[in-house]
Amino acid sequence: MNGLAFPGTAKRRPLSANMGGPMSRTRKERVSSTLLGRDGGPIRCPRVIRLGLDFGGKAPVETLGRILAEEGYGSREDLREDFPMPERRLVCRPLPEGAERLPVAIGARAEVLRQALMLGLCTAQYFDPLRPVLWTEASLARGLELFDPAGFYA
Amino acid sequence: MHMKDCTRLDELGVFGFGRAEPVIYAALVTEDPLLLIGASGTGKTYLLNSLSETLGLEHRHYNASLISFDDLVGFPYPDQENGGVRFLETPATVWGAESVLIDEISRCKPEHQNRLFSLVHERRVQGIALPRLRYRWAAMNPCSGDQSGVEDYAGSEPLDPALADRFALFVQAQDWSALGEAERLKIADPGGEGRIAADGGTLRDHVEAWRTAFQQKSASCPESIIGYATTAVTALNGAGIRISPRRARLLTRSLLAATIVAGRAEESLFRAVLEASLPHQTWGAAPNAEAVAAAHRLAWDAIAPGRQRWLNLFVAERALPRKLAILLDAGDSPDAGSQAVSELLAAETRERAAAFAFAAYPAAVLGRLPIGAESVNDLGKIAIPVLSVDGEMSWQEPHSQNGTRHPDADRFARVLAGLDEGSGRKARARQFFDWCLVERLSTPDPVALEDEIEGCVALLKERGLA
Repeated sequence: MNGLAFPGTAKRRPLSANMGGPMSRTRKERVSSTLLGRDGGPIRCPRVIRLGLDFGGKAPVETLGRILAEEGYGSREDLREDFPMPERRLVCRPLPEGAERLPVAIGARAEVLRQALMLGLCTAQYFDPLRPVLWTEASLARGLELFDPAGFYA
Repeated sequence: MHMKDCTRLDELGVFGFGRAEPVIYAALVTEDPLLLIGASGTGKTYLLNSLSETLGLEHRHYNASLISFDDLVGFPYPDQENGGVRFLETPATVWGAESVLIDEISRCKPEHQNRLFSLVHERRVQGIALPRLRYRWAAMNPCSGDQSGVEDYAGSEPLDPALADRFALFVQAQDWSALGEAERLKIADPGGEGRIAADGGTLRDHVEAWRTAFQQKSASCPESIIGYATTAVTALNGAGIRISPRRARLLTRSLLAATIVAGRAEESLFRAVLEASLPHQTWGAAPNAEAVAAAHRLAWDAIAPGRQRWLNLFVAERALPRKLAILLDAGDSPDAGSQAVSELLAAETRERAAAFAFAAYPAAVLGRLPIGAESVNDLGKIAIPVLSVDGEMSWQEPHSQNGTRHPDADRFARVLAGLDEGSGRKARARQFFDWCLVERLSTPDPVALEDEIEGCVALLKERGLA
């Protein structure tokens, strides 16, 4: 399709045959905002902790079961005695893409177990210290940020 | 003393209104205005004049299409003793009347409608009270343009909705095709023509007894009747069938009276009273029958004992803060609460479901809502993407313009401009609108939705749950 240039319109965008009226353009703009993780401003929902384990391709439940036994714990519930946790429920949000995770193979055992304990108390949406500790492939593979939601109602 | 003991209308020589009898008696008990609607020759006028005879009332029958205002009030003349004006009374003037029938009310001029308005609503004429007037009745043909009937009554204009709203009950007079065989035979028989409707005072005595009971019970109306009326009106409004707050009270009164007349609160009676309480047909906009039936079902279930009641109230309620209040007040178990939340999230539009989740999820996480873990997760799945937005909004910019803004961003900005700078409310609103932009949700009324979000937040704060 050839463009047609009309006298006096040399600098304008040429009209093409059958193009109808002037074409519209799609404009895009990035929108990024959050109420979570803020320590200032009217709404304060500070981040409490980040959780994310990197199992290096190994099976999470099996790997944690082995570490638990090696560290001398009878069950995962026993971890509660050594790792104090937030006492109230927290909001969970997925870790941002590419966020660093703790390598299970070389990370400090205590930190691995602490995170595994907390991940076992989280759903994808919230952390509840009163839940039983559930270790599944999904729960241990999650990367989460935990926030205190109380400030939402400011 | 109940309806089954009462003299039936056909014993007064009035036929064809058997099914409407409880509704008609309810109007006699409440003394709220009653309007009969029906084709010509269906006995509307005959019924109302017969009732006045039977009850021994001082009655006036005006034809609204012919009436002049002087007919109603008499001829004014100077009051030389007290100053001012008095009216020369005639047998037709309204002073002293106990019952008034305004026949053909849809055929009178608008200025007469306005004068009749105060008569129907306030029992006043020219601002002067009519203390003896108990019953205000009217009759009309289906208004022109209403295609539900065979005939089109060209002179019967749609009633002014404000005037129609003053009538508590609307009884449809049955045409020949809707009558039973026995009724047809009685109507066709000329034997009773001209008979005075007299039953020796039986109906009058019944009405007085019912009215005494009605006045006693009105002071503490049964919760089930109020609950039914509240739920039905909420559901009807939610379905786009507007019912005024005044009518909610009229409906409660009519239901109470009908249950006293019938001696029991049965479902068919409640449905009949609800259907007879809808004024829309007077202006030619008969409401969707299925929506009315659904509202009745919801309301009837709502007064059933147990969990179903509050769940139905919750479903019928439109406003999100009121839904939340019902959940907080009535949530009797996490299972029931979860069921309610599931209903809400499934039934509402995406932006309204998100608005509720956004406002309620933090409280739910903190364990302040009577819902189970599953529902906390369901709220979170919707709310978390609202709490943290990271995406792209796009819009079409005309070729001839540069530097335009997203049209919804402008709408939202106007809402935000009205909120206090630096407030939590503004921060929440901005966050929610950002989510709407990224999700391409063009909220029809952002002011109202933002208000609902804040209504939920305020309720949770007020209850100390946030």
